[in-house]
Amino acid sequence: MEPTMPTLLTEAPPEEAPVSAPARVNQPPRRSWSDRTFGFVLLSPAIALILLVAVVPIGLAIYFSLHATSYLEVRDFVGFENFQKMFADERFANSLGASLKYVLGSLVLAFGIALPLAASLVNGGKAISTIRAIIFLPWVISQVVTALLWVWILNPSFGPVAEILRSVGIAPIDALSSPSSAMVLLIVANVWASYPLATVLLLAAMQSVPDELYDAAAVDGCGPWKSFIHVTLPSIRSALGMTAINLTVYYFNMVTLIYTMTGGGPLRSTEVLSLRIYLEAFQNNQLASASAYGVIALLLNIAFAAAYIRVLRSSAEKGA
Amino acid sequence: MSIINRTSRRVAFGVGVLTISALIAGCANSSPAAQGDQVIELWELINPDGDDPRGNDLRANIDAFEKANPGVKVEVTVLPWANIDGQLMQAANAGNSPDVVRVLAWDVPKHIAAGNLLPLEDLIPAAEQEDWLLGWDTLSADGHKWAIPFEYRSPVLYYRTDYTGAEPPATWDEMVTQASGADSNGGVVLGMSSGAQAAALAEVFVSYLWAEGAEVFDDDGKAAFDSPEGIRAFERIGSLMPEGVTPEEAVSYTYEEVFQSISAGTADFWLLGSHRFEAAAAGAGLEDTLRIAPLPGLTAGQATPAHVFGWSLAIGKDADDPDLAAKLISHMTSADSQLARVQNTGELPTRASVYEDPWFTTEDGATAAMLADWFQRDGRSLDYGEHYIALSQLWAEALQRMALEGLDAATAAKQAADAYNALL
Repeated sequence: MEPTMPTLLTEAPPEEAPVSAPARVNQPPRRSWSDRTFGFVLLSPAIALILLVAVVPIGLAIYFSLHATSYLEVRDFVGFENFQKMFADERFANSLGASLKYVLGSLVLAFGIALPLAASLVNGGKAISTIRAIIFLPWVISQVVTALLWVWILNPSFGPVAEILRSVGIAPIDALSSPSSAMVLLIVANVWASYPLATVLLLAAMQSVPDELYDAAAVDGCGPWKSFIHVTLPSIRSALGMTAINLTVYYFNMVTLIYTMTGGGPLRSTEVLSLRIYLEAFQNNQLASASAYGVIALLLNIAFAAAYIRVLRSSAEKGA
Repeated sequence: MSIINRTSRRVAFGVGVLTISALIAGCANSSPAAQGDQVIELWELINPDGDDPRGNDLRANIDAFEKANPGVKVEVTVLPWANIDGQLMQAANAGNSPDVVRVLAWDVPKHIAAGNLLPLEDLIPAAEQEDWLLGWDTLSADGHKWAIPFEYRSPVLYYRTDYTGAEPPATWDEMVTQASGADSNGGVVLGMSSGAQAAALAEVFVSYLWAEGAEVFDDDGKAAFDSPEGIRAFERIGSLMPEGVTPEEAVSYTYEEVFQSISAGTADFWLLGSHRFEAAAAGAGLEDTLRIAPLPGLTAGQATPAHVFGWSLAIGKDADDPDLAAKLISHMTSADSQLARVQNTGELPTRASVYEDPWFTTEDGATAAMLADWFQRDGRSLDYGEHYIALSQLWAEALQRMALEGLDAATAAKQAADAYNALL
């Protein structure tokens, strides 16, 4: 009988030609599948969490919005009836309008403060960390405290601003009681609390602009203003876009500050879309109606997110 | 090349499974209880471990119940008062409503409609169904009793003896005259916010609807406040601001701002719930000068009806042992418990016999006795219906339109009534 070739199972491999490695190399499909599975295992807690806190609620909101509900009990499928009712309700248009005013007003004011402030701090030297911490303080105060603080400060009967105005012979202004000025005051309070975020983001972006660009601009005869317009702004375009979109989404979904400060009044002048959703869901227990409002808000948020991605891609392409 | 061996992968896989299991388990209900104890879950707005008069009183009350019922433990879940309503709705929907829960009077109807509560008439002994200040029928619907009143309150007139004298104004007109005189300190302040806390206005407004002879609802539960009598109430409250009696900022005032106004002393009179009196007097050091009185009547000798409401105790539909839960409610609302409570905290009893205690003839009990007398003579409770919060906001908006936009009272009342009926 001819001797058979030694097999991996019965004989040890010769030292000069180890066979274990080639044998494993011959199993790449299994190894690759296993890696993929392991990757999913590692990701599974995060996926479960995202499913739990984001995907499931969104799915439920869409489901509820297509059904009739009684308190939290889901009844019959009604198709788009809840949406039809919502669009026919003048409060929807009012809330959408209030949201747009609130978001745009806050954005304009926040950038109006943050941009020059960041530009003036960019050469802050060693004190920059301290200054940045001080600027950031309003951001860390809770929205409830911010709201109560502003309501008290501006109260025309017993607020400190009224006292100061009266002491110099000026009648106090009652801003929160007028539908036209309540929104303005709300925007001011909101920007006071949120401009630090914009300032810090823009400051970080400005600090990353290479000095060589400013040196070159100076050689070309640019003063500080022209350098800001032609060097700083183009260099931080991406950060400007990201900050704008972040703030837009943040402002659009805000409830606590508005709820505490005005409750949506007077005469629903500050009843923004996010507050309307909250009131429908948790005060009126109108689950279906709140969900319909929520779905519209979700679509608007998706639009903001799409704009955000577009800005990022555009910046990346220009940078490449 | 793989950098993790198979054993490590198995460990990691196990960790992943455990993490997901923990996430799922975390969503499930779990209520730790000492072995052998029968547990009653009580949802409260007062923390029994808090070092304040209300916390101390609740702790003592629960301790007394547990001592009288060996083997029974009361587990208190403390929730912010504004959250109890929503939490109860969600818990009941998930089949986890507590054994005993505090419910504000005007939230009871919606919890009845949602099927969140158990009827009490068969759980509370017949002997305990007597002796209630406003009768046994309050907080009832469809022939069932759904909640037991825990404490009573009503909007009252706050005034300061150093501003307007020792005696409160005898009539509405007298109050308005004093508040709009040359030596006025700021007029009459009441909360007229149309936001989430529109209840501050509605509490007062219901009293004056009744004072004018109007009803809030008709027998079918539809709006009846747009009657000629109701329109007079709109005119009365809605004219305060245009006539300069009430400052314009009151349009944005919630309960809290009226309370702050009392502390700051920036008005002559304030219309606010009686339950804030102790805190207002003590907080601003006004014990010697701040007083409360029944809401001024429309004419001399005609009292304005007291709109009496307050927190109640109810049994959740998922209660493990409804009889034991009812026993706790009986204990917490017993005459002895209520007497101790009013002495410790100032919260007004809901049982009539409590007011016969000699303590009410003392100086400490004088304010409570005055209110009890008003409640007994002219007190009414309202069957609020399912949409009372929305109605409060509609009233506030209607009165704001009168104040800010010059809308006439009849139109304001009609618009509010139509909007309310559309909700039904």
